[in-house]
Amino acid sequence: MHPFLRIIFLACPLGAAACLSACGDHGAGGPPFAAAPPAAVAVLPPELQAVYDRSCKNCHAVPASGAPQAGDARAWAPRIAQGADILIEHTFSGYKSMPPLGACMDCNEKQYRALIEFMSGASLKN
Amino acid sequence: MQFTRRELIRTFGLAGALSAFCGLPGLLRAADRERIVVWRNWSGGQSCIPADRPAPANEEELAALIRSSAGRVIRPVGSGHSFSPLVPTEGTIVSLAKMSGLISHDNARLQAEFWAGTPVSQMGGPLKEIGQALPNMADIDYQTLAGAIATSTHGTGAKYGSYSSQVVGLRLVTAAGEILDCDAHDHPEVFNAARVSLGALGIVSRVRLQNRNAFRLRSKNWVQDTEELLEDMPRLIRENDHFEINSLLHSDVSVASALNETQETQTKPKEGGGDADKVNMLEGVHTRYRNSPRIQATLLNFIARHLVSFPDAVDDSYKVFANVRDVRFNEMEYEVPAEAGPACLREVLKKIRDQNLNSFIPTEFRYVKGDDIPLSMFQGRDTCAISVHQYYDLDYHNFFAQIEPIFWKYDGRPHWGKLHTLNARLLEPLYPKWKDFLAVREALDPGGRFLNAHLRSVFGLRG
Repeated sequence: MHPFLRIIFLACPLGAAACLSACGDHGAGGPPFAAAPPAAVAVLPPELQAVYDRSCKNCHAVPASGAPQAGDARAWAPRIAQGADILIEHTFSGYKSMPPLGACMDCNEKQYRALIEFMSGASLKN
Repeated sequence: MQFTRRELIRTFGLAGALSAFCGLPGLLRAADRERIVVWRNWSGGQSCIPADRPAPANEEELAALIRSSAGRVIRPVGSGHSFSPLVPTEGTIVSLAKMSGLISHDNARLQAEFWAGTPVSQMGGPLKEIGQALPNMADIDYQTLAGAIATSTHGTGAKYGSYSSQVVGLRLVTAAGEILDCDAHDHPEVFNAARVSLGALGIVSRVRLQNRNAFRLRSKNWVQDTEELLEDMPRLIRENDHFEINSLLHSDVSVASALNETQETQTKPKEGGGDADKVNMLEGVHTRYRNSPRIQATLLNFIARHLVSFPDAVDDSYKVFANVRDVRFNEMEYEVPAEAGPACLREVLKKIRDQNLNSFIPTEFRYVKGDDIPLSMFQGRDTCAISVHQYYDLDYHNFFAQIEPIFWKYDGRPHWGKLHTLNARLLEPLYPKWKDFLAVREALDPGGRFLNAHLRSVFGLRG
């Protein structure tokens, strides 16, 4: 599409509604909206649950944020496919709308990996 | 940056340190490897490798941490949303994330005490349950309460001060590890300074706020010629509780936002999602037509006036004040005398357009009531706050360097949490009570436990 037409499309109300799926993209493609209501795929230990509640949940349990939603395996699949190293790097340094450290100022790598596995329902491999 | 062997072992673990010294990558593979965690702020523009990043669960742990880490710089961190280097240190970054939530409230006085690590985004709901609300809020609520008051964070409204102006009491854990309760009666000089402290007096652990009864807001947004809005500004800020404009760079138009208290009970929630779609549109136009300024302006004027919608909203106040900002950026903001605001913004916008500066995120133009806090940007004068932004992935130095002198010309004071280039020599003349603050700081922290390199420059103190 010509950039001008694309701009008009993005700017018009219908286009804006349609374009939300591309907004706030946190990862590599995939639908940012949860296909189904977010559902926890596992139980986190209390300390990590607290981290999830105060940090991750602000975006990963808010479909309008554009972030892949906790429990939405389909949205997470292309991110997981990139491998743990990329996901951890994006978590540490920030990526697009994702803030550095996932807004957790005291988390360590093990905790980040566990939180990603919890939200994605997938196991991270090195 | 140079590491001692002890620091290497602490930072990388034994395997990492052995590897660094002996060139044994196999050890790293064999170990349960963990990468270095580089602390970065929200925009990614500030970073450091701290020795540790503890998060104490209560005031006793916080005090013990301060006492046990003598000789090491300690910097408190909230949500990392400051753009200026307030946090970076090779010492300890302390998070109060585990000290969060409502502690107590006083219905008669409409006051409430929160743990200092409470995100502002998690204050509105609990306050509504007790019939209270913050009188005013910033346009984002990612900050923690301690971070917001440390930097005099603010919303807009000529009759409303910053978050710091609503503080009626706080608890400070000092460099000696002692707990100090202060308000207008107990340790009043410490209290007044600590309401805007840049985290340089100690670590604030709890904050008591003067609130108001819970209320609802209606927001109305529209696009209008920037010059018309600036001409009409005295009426607009007089007739609206909270008013601001966001001017589209390289165009003739701004988005005006008026928030007013309403008794309407039917909720009309804000649009979901953030501002990425609109910012992406601005980026697209700027990238494509930057070298054709007249086409760029015409296109932006047309799109903003005719193709973008800004629906009204009616809801509880805290749901209307805050916006989702899902496009990261770096920001410079100066606070100029209220009456100088329109002229200053005109000059900023003209400079950006005349020099065709490479930026596309709108400026923000707001009003804040003056206060009496020594280090507040609003001390002694009603203020107009003007912000310029740069997309997080674009270099901001050249852009901000051309705008900052305009703010100086209008007697501007830099926002403590946003980027600026002033040091103590230039800051002191802007703050009549500068020495009052420095005297309190020296008394509370003579060893400079809470000073990083940025704060030493700000306060003119040698390391």
